[in-house]
Amino acid sequence: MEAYLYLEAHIKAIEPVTDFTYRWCTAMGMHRDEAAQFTLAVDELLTDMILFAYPEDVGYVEIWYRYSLPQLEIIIQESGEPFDPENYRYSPDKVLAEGDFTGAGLELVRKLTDHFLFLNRGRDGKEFRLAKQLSEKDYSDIQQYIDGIPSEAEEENFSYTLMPVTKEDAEDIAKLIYRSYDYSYSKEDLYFPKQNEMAIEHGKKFGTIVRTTQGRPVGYFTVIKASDSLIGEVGEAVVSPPHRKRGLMKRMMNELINMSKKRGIMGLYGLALTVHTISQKVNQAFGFHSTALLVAITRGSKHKEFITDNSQPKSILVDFLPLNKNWNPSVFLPDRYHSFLQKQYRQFQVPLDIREASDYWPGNPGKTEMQLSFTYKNKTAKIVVSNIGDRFISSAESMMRSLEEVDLHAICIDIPLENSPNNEAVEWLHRNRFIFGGLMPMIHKEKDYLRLQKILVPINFDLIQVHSETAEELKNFISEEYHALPQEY
Amino acid sequence: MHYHKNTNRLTVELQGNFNLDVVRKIENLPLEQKDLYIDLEQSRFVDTEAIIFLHKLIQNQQVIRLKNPPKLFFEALRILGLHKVWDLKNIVER
Repeated sequence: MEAYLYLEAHIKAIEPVTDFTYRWCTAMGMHRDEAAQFTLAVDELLTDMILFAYPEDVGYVEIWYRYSLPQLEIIIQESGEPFDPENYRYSPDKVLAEGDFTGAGLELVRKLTDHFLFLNRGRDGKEFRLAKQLSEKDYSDIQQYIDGIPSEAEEENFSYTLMPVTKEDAEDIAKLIYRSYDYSYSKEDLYFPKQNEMAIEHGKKFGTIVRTTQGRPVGYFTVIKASDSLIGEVGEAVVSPPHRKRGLMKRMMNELINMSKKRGIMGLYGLALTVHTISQKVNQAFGFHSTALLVAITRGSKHKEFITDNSQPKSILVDFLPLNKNWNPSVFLPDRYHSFLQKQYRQFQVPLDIREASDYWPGNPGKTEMQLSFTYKNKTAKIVVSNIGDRFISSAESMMRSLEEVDLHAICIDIPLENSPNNEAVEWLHRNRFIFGGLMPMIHKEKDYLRLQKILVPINFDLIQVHSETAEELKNFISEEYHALPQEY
Repeated sequence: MHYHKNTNRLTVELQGNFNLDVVRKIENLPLEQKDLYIDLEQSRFVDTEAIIFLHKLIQNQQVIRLKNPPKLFFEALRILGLHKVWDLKNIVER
């Protein structure tokens, strides 16, 4: 459950906001002690805003409550007096010597959260981002179910049934993942049966579970629905080791594609880690085509059998399968990537309408709209530009400045291809060290976007493994652009 | 927040967290040289505004008793390096 509060920065708002925050955290599955810690961090920031951001005027504060399990994130924005948390460092010595508590609230915020970011958004105000992981304490719930389960060797004659996943399967899925990977599976939320149950119940994902005739769960594969487009990502694939090489992945993928079509899903993404090519081969076999390569985008899978090199963050190959037969993209292709994007579209054999800037009647280009999000554990940021307005460059400059102090491996930015000419925006981003990421079909509001990426760590492209010819071509294209940048490292 | 006075003690019972709003309310109570007794049974946390308020009272030799403070109160004091500065044995009552 996501939530949003808009409130006057007033002392009377503190208790209702903190009460709501605590209840939201516990409703999302956070342990009570940790929910209290997270709530105290919100109390400290809100109190500082009331006291210092708007000392005389009436001001307003916006609070977003977001989650990406197993992580909860709270974003607080205000537009009050200028402030930089770095100038307010707490010192216990100053307290004892002078009774000076400067920075005490921020010290609690830093210590009681897993991640605390301050972003100065210029005239768009100031933004504080707090994130906290759900505790691994809940993992222990699963262990009690593991003991006493008969070993799979006891079941010899296998025949399988595929069923749609229901919320009642959540506990079995957690057991299946545990038996297959111990605690090393990268999609941590699957270890939380209640979180998975909630995601299934609320329709955020659907999928299929494979059971033996004895009812034992041995395979699981889902589609995770996108939050802002009628598309999904195939993922969370697992087959219990004794049941591998029996065609279960293929059967499950077919089932997922059928289920997706019935639900009106317009396209499926497959995100394949490039430390191996197994997932890429599976995706290719089902008609997926590679459209983007996101470099240094994740810490990577914890599957020990696949990781042979830990010298750099891992990259992801983006594969796409369109399901909507009426996909007729009508796009503005920036000069710099015109022919490559055209080639990418060609692999889907869709009728492509390429629009020219001269055909465009701008009217009022409107306000630049961009939204920023972080994946803290991967040290990445993503900006989605939903409208390239008349002040795109100044808004982008302000956004980039606010990110300068943040320790990141990569920044991605999605530029709309269908709304308006984007050449000027792409050229500005290129001058600011953004390079090609790839085509992202239907990724936001069913519209196609160009993803650009700014890689902030040194990357050895030889360590990125891709399977298909198209993917190899994509990798070479990105690698050449990356190496053509003046090196800063 | 409820409060009542007797001869030598002002007792405050909090209905929620000990925050800036509560600090302002207690500041306006007639303390009149009495001991301050705060019941924190219903509080999930005591924030830094409240800790600063209490710290100043302690520095001014005000007698304070805190009944049933939440676990997070002790964690906050530890983070701020005050857990060894405050005489918690005489301040906290279980």
